Amino acid sequence: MKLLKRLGLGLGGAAAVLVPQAEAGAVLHDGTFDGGTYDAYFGPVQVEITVSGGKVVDAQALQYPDHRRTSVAINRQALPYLKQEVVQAQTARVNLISGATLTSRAYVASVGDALKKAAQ
Amino acid sequence: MRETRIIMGMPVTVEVVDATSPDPMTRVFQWFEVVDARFSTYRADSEISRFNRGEVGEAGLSAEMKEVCALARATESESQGFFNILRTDGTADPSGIVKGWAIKKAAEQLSAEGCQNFYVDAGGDIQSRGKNEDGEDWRVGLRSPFHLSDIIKVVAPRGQGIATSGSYIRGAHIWNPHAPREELADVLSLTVIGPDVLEADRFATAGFAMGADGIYFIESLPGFEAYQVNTRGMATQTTNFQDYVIS
Repeated sequence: MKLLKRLGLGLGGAAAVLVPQAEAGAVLHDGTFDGGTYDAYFGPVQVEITVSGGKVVDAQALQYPDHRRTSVAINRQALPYLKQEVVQAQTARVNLISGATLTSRAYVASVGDALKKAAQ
Repeated sequence: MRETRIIMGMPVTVEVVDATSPDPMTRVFQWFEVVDARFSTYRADSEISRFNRGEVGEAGLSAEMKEVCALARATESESQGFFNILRTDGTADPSGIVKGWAIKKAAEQLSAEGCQNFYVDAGGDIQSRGKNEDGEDWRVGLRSPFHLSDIIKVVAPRGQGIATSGSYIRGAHIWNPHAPREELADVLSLTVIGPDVLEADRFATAGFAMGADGIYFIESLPGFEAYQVNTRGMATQTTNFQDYVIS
């Protein structure tokens, strides 16, 4: 579950695709395995997984999209103060959910590679 | 009537309250399949892949591909270059804009077929119209970047489009312009509500790429509101975002 937790945000609904790959695969060998590099929208994504006791215990991004620049042409003198609040979970009823899935395919593809290597 | 299918590597959900048959929804899913076949960089036989291999020139592109590329160019200039479909290897990947565009077209198709109360949700980007089956405004939960099963806000887009960009990854450090010595936490997600889902999607993508500045970028855009969450669990919202908040 740690794998899904750490990768969960990028994966979104695609996490469902990942789970069977991990569970259906044969025995995973202990060690560290790197996935391939895939293009996500902001740039390359490459994931490294760590297997211990036959289970994936960690997943780290070796490469990730980062297109942030040091300066933005926004007039900082004119920036308004915007309302801030502490994020809190709530139990309200909803019809549907908005969340991030931006680079899910790239992450799933790279993790899939790493899992295949771990199973070899 | 509601149905979910996995297309373009993501869950696509369509709910049509006033549908008397599943046909309008089926046509929406067929449309997303067509879009995937044309725009997916994960398919060797897609139009975009053939273009990137030089097998088809710009003149030979479909009208839809030209439309999406023109939208991408417009977004690039409107976002100070933060939105760019060119990869570092020089090939094009329009996926950052295709999703919003495809959802918008799907919603237009449903409207043209007489549907008045529905939503189209592709990977968490949503275009809704009318009311839900209880006759209320559609209620959209914003997913917590920290716990996928948690909702941190409930909003009613009321016909506007809503899109979220995000990452679990920690990027470069960002500095607070109001307190230059204080290091800010990274942005985890940026949810944008705009005139339609295409507008919300392209400015959520561009605004997220700006890091902490993104919320100020959205604040500067007329007709757009946003909610930004950082790694410290703090959320920042634009001035009139509250107008959409249910709880």
